[in-house]
Amino acid sequence: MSRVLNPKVVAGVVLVLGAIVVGKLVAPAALPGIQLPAEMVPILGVRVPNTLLHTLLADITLLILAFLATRNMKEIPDGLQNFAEWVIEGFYGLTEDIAGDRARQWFPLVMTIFLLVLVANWWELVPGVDSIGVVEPPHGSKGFVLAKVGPLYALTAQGVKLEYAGEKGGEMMGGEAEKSGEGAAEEAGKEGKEEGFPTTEDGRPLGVLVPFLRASATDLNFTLALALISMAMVQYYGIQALGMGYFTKFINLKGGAMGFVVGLIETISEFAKIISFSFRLFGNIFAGQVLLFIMAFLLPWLVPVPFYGLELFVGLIQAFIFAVLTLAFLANAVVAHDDHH
Amino acid sequence: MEALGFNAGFLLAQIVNFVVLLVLLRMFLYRPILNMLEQRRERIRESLEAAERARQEVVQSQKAYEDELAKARREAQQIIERAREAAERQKEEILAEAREQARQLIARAEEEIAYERQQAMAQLREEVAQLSLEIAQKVIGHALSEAEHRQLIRQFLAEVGESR
Repeated sequence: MSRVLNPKVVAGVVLVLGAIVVGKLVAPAALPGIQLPAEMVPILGVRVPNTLLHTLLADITLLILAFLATRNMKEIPDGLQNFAEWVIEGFYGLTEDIAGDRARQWFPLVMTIFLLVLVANWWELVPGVDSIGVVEPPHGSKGFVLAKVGPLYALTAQGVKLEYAGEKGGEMMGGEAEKSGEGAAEEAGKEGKEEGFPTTEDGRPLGVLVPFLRASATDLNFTLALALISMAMVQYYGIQALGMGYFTKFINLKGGAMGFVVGLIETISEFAKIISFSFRLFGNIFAGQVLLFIMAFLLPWLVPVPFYGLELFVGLIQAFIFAVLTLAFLANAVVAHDDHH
Repeated sequence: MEALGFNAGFLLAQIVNFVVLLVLLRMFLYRPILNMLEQRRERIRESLEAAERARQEVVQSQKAYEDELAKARREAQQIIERAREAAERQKEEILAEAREQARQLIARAEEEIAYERQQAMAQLREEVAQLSLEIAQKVIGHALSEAEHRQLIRQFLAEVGESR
């Protein structure tokens, strides 16, 4: 009892609650429009999906780290080389445990899946990703009141529902303000190139943010690409190891009607693996992104912190699962299946 | 699929991106690091083997040294033993010789003494007989025959011998 009423504990609780309340009042965040397809960012006159840019960012991060780690290789490693060796040796050990002799063959694929997914997932948690981009006139049914910060525009938390969605740059009808109260700038945006923003009734500009970066795995194209590569390699190594015998798994004529049905199910499950691969990663990361958006929107201060921790963990686990499942499927594919009758 | 954001072009872009990344990482990350790990493993193995060899050598040389030492000690012992035996033998010989010489000397001395004594006794006897003959002649005044003299001397000597 006395522990709970300890003045330090009470002060801490009050401080935390106060910060949450003050944060809600002082710095309300916009709830960005959540959409499944990647937003198209105009870069040098070309519209590019921001998830693809995010993937490139992850690539560059990895390549820079690789360069720095292997630039000055030493027999007695230190710093980044040590870290890189720790990661690679650890994962190579795991690959060897599962793949045995084929570790050297499969390791680059599995390691690259792990590293790319991990780095892409963790980049999502860096401030600025999802929140810095180009401010454009609303193309959907929702816009935000813009505030000018120096040469830049910032989205306020004041969302406005538009009567109808017009063409880009077309005439917009100002709608009723969903929320009142001037919000602090939460989502900084690059200066809109066109000054043709629609305005509210009292003359303030409306716009939406097209972020430069958005987590790769929130784009189905990314996860599906990985899943296709993974399963294609599984088929490739299966055929390489077993020759035409590999296909007896799918078209089973020896086992009678039952065997044939099992073969069909095997075939279907091979495609199901692609689906489960891509949607597992996509779903987890997309849900994490939405969770972070909502938490930042509801209570912008302190409350999102544990969810960031959670997403850090989810990002790691999903990368690991993708890599290790690929490895397991590979190991499974090179083993002949008709010898346990 | 469109609603999910599926787009064949972007999909292809992601696939190409992944393949390129895989090739680059394989070239610039996996290969150098795995090679380095292999190299280090090799180096450690060699070092351990060298250490083991050195240890073996040390053990061997230690053993050789100890063998050598033991041998030297044994030889020294033998030399001492031999020397002692020789000394002992020499001592015995010298002693025996000395004893023999002593014995010989004593024997010779005894012989000489006995001889001298006999000589002296004979001479004395002769002289005493002569002397007593002369004394008797002077006392008696006349010469006795040789035979009578001899009789008288013998008698006298016998008396002298008894009185002594």
